[in-house]
Amino acid sequence: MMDTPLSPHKKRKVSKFLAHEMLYDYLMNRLDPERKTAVELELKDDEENQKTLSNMKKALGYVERINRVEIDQELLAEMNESSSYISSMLKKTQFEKWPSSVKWSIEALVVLLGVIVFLVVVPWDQALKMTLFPKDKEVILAEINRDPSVGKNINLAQVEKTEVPQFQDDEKKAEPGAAPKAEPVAVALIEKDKKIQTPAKKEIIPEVAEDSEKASSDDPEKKALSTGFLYRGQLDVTNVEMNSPKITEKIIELGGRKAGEVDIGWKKSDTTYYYHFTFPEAKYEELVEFLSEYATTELTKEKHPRIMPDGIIRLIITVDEKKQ
Amino acid sequence: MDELAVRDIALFFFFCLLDEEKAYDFSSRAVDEFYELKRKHPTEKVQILVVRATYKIWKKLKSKIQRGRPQITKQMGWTWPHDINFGPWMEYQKNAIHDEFIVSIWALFLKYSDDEIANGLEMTPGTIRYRLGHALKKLGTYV
Repeated sequence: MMDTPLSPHKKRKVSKFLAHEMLYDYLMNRLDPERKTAVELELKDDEENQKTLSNMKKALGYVERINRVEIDQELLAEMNESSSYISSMLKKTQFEKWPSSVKWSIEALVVLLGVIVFLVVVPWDQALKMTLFPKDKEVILAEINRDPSVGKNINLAQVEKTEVPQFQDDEKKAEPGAAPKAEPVAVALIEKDKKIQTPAKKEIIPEVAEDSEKASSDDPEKKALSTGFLYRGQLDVTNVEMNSPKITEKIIELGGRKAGEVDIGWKKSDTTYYYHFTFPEAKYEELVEFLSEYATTELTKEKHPRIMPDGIIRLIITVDEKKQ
Repeated sequence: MDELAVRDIALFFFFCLLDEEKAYDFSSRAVDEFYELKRKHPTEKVQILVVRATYKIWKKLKSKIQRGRPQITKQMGWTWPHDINFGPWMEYQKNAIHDEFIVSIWALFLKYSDDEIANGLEMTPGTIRYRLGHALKKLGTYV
């Protein structure tokens, strides 16, 4: 076996592995004469590498045989047509050959148009409201009940008790699965309903103007529409467990109906009962008189963003056991 | 010159996919990519750009390739003599290592040099020769 000068230090034989790895270059005739000789020498004794070389030759011959695939000119032309409209347009207009200044101007214009469209399309007022004013701090100007009976002096006791609560209780959070709150209605609806709520509205204006310290004198009607009221009070009653049902009964009898999600006279704790209800304004004095039989009644009238329909007021009263 | 590049792209995907419909789809995208590359590198050799464009599209869409299910019916525009037997190539396509397989198409069918392929793939020519050698050895076992 002949040694081959593959190393500067001493001559050595090409291993089977090296010969195997050099087969492709040998086949392509890319080896220098010395290596070629070495590989050939190795191949003489190695049947495995001989077979591999034979396979590679067969593979090359096979590739030559099958590499006779032709492609229709029409198909090539179709492929040459760009699949996307933009690139096709760029190709047709030879955009890449245009002067740089023109290209940059057009690109800047396209970007500018994109920005303008974005600014116009996005509802910024709603987006700002969502980010700057979270829903829990939202001021609701009015909730309009489209029931034609609103504003008239009706007996609210006749209304079914199963109605959806329109107000959130102070004392209790909404239970899962509870009916949704009434959605606030836009101010535009108030304007629309102004026409319906005619004489009663004029009666309320002076009262609102008196209570509202900051109300401007130039447009009291507008101010009155934008502010509602809530009557709030706390009663200390002896033997509250016995008396609470009587109070509840009287309130319902006079036309009160629950305003929040809990029933009128909800037992908040062993010694506390909670009343959140709407009530006919005309019977307010009668109610106060009734309550005075049990305890000294002082209801404070507080400003509230929600406006009630004319003739209806909203009250939140807490009745506690009187401490001895 | 560009017509030859389009032809090479179409041939590459034909042998790569053995599915005329998909080959047409992939080729169209690769042609777009080729023109885009040409716009960016106008002085680059066409062969290198073809390697880059085809490799990019192949890499992007290779998950859609179903190896071992050839769909060649001569209905789309690729034609070949009736005596051609694609059997060994189909078998090789089914079992080959991806990298070796695509290198073999560029080198054996499109006749691109090792340097062109290496430049297109940003690899050394030695790596390409190694892959090509292995590809030939494997293909030879099916022939």
